[in-house]
Amino acid sequence: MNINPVVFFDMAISLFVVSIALAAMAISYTRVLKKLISHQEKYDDLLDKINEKELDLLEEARRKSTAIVEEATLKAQRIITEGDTLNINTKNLLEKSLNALIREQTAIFEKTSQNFLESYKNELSIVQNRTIEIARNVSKDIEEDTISEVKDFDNILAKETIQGQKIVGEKIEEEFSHAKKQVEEYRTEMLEKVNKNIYELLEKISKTAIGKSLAMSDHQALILDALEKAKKDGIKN
Amino acid sequence: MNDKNSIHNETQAYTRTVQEAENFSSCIDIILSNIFELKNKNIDQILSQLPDSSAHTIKKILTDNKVDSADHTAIENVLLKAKEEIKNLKIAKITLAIDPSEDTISLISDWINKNLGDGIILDLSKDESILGGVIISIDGVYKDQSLKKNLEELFIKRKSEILSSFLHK
Repeated sequence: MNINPVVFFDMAISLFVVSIALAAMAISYTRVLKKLISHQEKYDDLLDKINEKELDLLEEARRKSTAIVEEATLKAQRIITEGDTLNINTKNLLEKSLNALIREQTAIFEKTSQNFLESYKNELSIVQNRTIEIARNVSKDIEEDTISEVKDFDNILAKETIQGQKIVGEKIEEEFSHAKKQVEEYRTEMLEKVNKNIYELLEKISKTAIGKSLAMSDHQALILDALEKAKKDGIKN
Repeated sequence: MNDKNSIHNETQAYTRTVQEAENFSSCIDIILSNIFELKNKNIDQILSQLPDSSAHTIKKILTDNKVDSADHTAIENVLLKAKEEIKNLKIAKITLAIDPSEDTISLISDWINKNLGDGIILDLSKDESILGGVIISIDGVYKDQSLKKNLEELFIKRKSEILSSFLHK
């Protein structure tokens, strides 16, 4: 198999170009890699410095804070000691003042109570007197009213009794008339019933007695009589 | 005309009631159904098998009408006429309080024939509750002449009188 020279030449040129491009890329990559390593080293140095500084700052801060706390504690202890002293003094003073005030107020209160008690006794005495007087008057009024009402009641009772007797009398009379009427109606009804029953019984007995007592000749006579009556009554058209 | 009267009279004389008319009619039917089988036999042979009263009446009808006992056609004609007479009889429905005896039946039948005319037979029934007398119905006319009804009318008319006499005793 033969290859066209033109094609072969083109392929050779292409391979050459690609080789040059690859070589350029390799050089460029190496350079970039070197820069990257250099930067990484700088970064690491910087990071170490920062860490060192940070530690220093932290140590400084711890030291300062410890000093502040100690100072604050001392100040607090001093303030507490001073406060306790002041508190004891104030308390003593307050107790004294309070006792004096209590004594004074007790005296005033006792005096006021005494006055109030006397006033109360006076008022109570006045009220008692008035009450007794009112009670006397009320008793008298009640007595008079009661006597008057009893008299009125007597009068009303007498009137009502007479009226009641009259009404009862009329009612009894009315009821008696009603009862009398009912008795009369019942009597009539019962008499009618008795009459009807007697009548029916009589009719039944008559029929039975007549029916059983007839002889054959009587029947024949009755038959002929009945036929004659039927003839007269128009049995024959 | 005489023959017809004879048949009529004999039929009337024998058949006073519906029951008797039915019996007589049955006897005639028996003779009519056997008459053409007689041939050389005498009709007396058939009549001897019937009840005496029916046989006697039929024989009398045949004699009165001068029918030859060997003339079967003549016998048939006379008996058919007799049957026709029975069919034409009127019926009087009569209710009594008793079971009627022969005398009572004759008494009623005679009175009916005498007063209401002949050609009427009785359809008798019994109802003790009427006590006595009769209830009669003929040609659509109904008359209650029972003792029961008469008593009821009497009690209604004279109720107060009966009651007062009874209560004051």
